[in-house]
Amino acid sequence: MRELPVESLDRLLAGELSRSEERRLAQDALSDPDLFEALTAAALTRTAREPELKRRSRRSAAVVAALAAAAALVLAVAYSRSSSRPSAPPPVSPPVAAAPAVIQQPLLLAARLDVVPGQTFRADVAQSREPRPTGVIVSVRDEFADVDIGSLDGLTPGGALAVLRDGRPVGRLTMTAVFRERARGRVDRGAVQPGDRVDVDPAVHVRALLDQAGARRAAGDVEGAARLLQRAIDGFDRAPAAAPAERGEALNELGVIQINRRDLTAAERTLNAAQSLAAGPTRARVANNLGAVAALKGDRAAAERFYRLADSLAATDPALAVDRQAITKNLASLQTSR
Amino acid sequence: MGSRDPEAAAQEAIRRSLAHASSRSAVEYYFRDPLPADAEPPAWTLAQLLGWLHGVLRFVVWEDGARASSRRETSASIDELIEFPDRAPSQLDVVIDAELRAIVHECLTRLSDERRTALLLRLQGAKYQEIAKRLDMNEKTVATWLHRGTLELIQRVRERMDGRPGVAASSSREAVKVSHA
Repeated sequence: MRELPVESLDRLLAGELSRSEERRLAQDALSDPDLFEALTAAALTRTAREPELKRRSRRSAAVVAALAAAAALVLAVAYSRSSSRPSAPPPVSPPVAAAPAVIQQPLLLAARLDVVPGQTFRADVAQSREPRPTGVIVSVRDEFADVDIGSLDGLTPGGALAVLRDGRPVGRLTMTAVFRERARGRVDRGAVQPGDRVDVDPAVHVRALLDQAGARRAAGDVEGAARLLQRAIDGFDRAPAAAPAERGEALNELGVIQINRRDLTAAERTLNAAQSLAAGPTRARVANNLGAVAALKGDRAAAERFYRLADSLAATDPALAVDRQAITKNLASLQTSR
Repeated sequence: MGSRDPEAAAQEAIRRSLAHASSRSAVEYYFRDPLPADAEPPAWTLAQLLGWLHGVLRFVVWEDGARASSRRETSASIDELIEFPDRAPSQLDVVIDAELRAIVHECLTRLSDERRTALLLRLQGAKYQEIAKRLDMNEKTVATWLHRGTLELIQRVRERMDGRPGVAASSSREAVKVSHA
């Protein structure tokens, strides 16, 4: 048995190998069963950690996108292109104090724009049912119960489900295996039976709604995304465990969709709510989007104030380099349209 | 597993992977020898491809088990089915299902604090120097933690995976070799 190339495995785990280095490693592994198994284990570790890495590296993904000169533009266009006009005529924006010169579509900023088509393998999300806050126990065997909800509804192994009968708590399940629309859990407490209701933790339900909203938006179903975002935002009231910052981010995303629909009154209201909850990078994005609303209403002074605020907030966070490019472009666009 | 032997299941996994555009280009790039002159580097990393192969193999085994049970007109044991993901539409999510994540998480938690912390930072793409700075440690010490931690983690994940019938990585290796023979 040959010694494992630890340095290469280490760099594979860190995602540092070039494709040609990976090819050499793969070729070596074909004649070395031990290496092939080690590589598979390292690959599973890397890919299993991927969702967490994606969450943590949202900003760094945006920085990578900055390598393309027009990354910020592309991000904004991604939103605009995926926006479908509502069938009803859009609400009329309030009259503006001064008729604006031609204001170009400002660049809008939101956190979930870094979904790269082709890197995830979503089927038609429009065919997915929406996440449910409750389910039902369909069978019980020994100390295990099967339920009719699953990962689509935010369940994860190790998570808990409250079991209720006639509205009263009768037990609790700890999930041991979770599939898309079904799951199995160990009965930790109480005597449960088929037909009992199970309640998803409100914070888990809200995150499931946000996840599906992101998937729908990435698939171009903006109306579906907006509906799910609204449900998630409403659900935050019942989810004290969810962080206010997440609510701020969700409100900002909804605000962006409303701007694209030209429902500026609703967008302003939504973004003002987002502003009071936003934290970190979202604060700069919300300020930029409020600037966009002001610009589209023809209030240049307000737009400039918001853009400058966004710029100062983004300046303190190097991970917001791409966002800052967009803010700068928005400011420049205000100048040229004077 | 079901009626099929591990090698046949691995062959089937490779066949399906070659029928899928993204995995096909990755299989060909990483494993074909010699590499065609006009071959472009694939979109998938090697880690993605190996994770994919492993997942498809598991799915093939699950399908086989379910089919065999159906033929015998006996109900499949949920305990067997529960080992494998269903046909969820997110393919990488299917491949790297929540159970697998839990296994990797568990293997990580079994590492010593230093090795785990250093490895988690490394998995986020941090350089040795950066990790040393963040942990306020000598870079050589960090390198040792990472070296040993990487080997230990891989060994633990392998041990956990080897406990699963028909999903040994060697099966996919043999199938890859045969597919390019």
